[in-house]
Amino acid sequence: MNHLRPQKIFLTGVALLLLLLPVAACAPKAPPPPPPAPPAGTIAVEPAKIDMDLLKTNFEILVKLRRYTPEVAAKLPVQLGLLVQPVTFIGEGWPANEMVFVDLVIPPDVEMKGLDRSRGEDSVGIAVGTADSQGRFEAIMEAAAKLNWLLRTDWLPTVTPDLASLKPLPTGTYTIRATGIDPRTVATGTWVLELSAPAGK
Amino acid sequence: MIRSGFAKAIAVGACVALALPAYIGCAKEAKPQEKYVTFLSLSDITGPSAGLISPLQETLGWGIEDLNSRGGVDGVKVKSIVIDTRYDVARAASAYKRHQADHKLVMAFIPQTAAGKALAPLMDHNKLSSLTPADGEFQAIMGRTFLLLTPYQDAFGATIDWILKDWQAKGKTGVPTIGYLCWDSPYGREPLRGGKEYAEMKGVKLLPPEFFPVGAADHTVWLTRINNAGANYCIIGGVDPTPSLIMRDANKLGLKEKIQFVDALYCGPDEPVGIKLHPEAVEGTVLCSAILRGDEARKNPLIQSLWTKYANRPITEMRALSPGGFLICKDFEKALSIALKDVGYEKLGTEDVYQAYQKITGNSRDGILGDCLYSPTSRRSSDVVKFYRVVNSKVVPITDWIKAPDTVSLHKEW
Repeated sequence: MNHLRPQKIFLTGVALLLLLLPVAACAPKAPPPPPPAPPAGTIAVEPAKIDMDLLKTNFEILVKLRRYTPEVAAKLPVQLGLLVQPVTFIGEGWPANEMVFVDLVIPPDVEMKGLDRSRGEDSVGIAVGTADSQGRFEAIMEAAAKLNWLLRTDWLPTVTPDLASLKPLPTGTYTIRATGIDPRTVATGTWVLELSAPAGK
Repeated sequence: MIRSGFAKAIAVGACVALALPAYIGCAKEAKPQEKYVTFLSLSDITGPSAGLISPLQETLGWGIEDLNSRGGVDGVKVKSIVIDTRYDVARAASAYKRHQADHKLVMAFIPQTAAGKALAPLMDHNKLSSLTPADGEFQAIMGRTFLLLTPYQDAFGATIDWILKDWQAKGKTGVPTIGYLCWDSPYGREPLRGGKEYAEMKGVKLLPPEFFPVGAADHTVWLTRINNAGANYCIIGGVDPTPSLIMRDANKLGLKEKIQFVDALYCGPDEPVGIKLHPEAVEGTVLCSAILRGDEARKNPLIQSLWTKYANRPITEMRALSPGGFLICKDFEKALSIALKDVGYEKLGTEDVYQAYQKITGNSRDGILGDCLYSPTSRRSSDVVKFYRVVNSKVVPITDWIKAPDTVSLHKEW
């Protein structure tokens, strides 16, 4: 055992120490854990389902409100009834006095003008509101949002919707996603949309 | 002295161990090779106001492309992110939230008053500055929003001054009666917030304003009411073709002989749009503009060079507000240059760019717009306007640049 002289043991120890020090001391420090995300509240939409019956009822109201003649009304798509249907997103349990953003998730096979999937977008903002001091919020869907994102209309240079270009979203159960200021604060809900008559009807 | 082979090996090992930190523990992460800042545009590309915003966004894109082709600002490139909001506040808000943490996002272009206001709390929190067309409210309540053009209400005041001069030049006595006809929208109402007070101060008789729904197909009702009230002049607005459609209806009613129509909201009859559609009806219409128009714009060297370089179509197709995009870029380049000199790229943040925008006072706009007025006490881009008239289907100048009165300060209830 004469090869294990104290000098060799000492030098080996020093070398190991030198090797360990940089690895241990200079290793990137783990970032401090982020503060926990504020808890997300709830999200719901009223009405929870929009179907053709509801649209037809509303269309009749629209015709009365705008005093359309039967001839004019006959040329208009019944989906325009959506414009007089209040759509409200409600929630509670959100961070007090903070904004809540409501998005409609657009399924991958559904075309949506303005949506840039190449940038990773999968949804469009459809309403925005601010929670009150109790964490409750209510946000309405504006007419432009209904036209742009539910009826998928184009616009004429005269700043009017091109009713001939109406392409209502395909029938389905859609996901609505509410997000707080902290992007980790997310809640989802569903919304049944039947904005077109079933094929054959 | 350590002479054995073992000791030598240990010594070499120790040296290697000492050198290791540079390669493992202490080596810094590779940085992105390209230095860049992000410029976010929440614009309407395919929605209702696309006719106004899209040309502006197009030239802004070319301006950024040109800036990057010149190497950026001190080697810092500009990454442009354009979101098509379709003039929807919720969409704009959602998109902003999505991009607010993007790498060195230092400026946003939000050409929609309602979206700008909805996003104000978030943008204040992020200390992000933004640019918006010409709502005087942002001068009255100064924050991080800068105007691109002379405030609408100041242009309204300048229009009142022009009308009074024109009235006198025609040898008339007393004061004229003036009507106002525009969209029923924040844009349509903004000129009166200060403009109305200015008209009262000048003693002109301003008729009750007439507002019509955006997209109205016919303006006969409102024009008739203005005519019946005895208007000598009528200030109109809306994004072309709206003003041209107003003129179409005024022409049909035979009002052009009696009433001089003046567009004062910058988006009046445009050669490639309304003037082309209704040449006879718009003939003689006067336009108050904060930006160079017609042949003057098409012959401006900066506009001409950038248009020739990037637009794959004749300059005759350029829209009235198109040059604005180049100017946004010109100001941004100057402000970014100052901010980079002040703090350098690594430390550059939203606050630095905000501070820098307040230091570009006097930045030249190459004659396309008045020189820059941004300062710690001004969110106004400029305080001058120019008057044009539609003559033989061309927009021709009838004045030089005229200083517009400060009407923003006259309005007290924002």
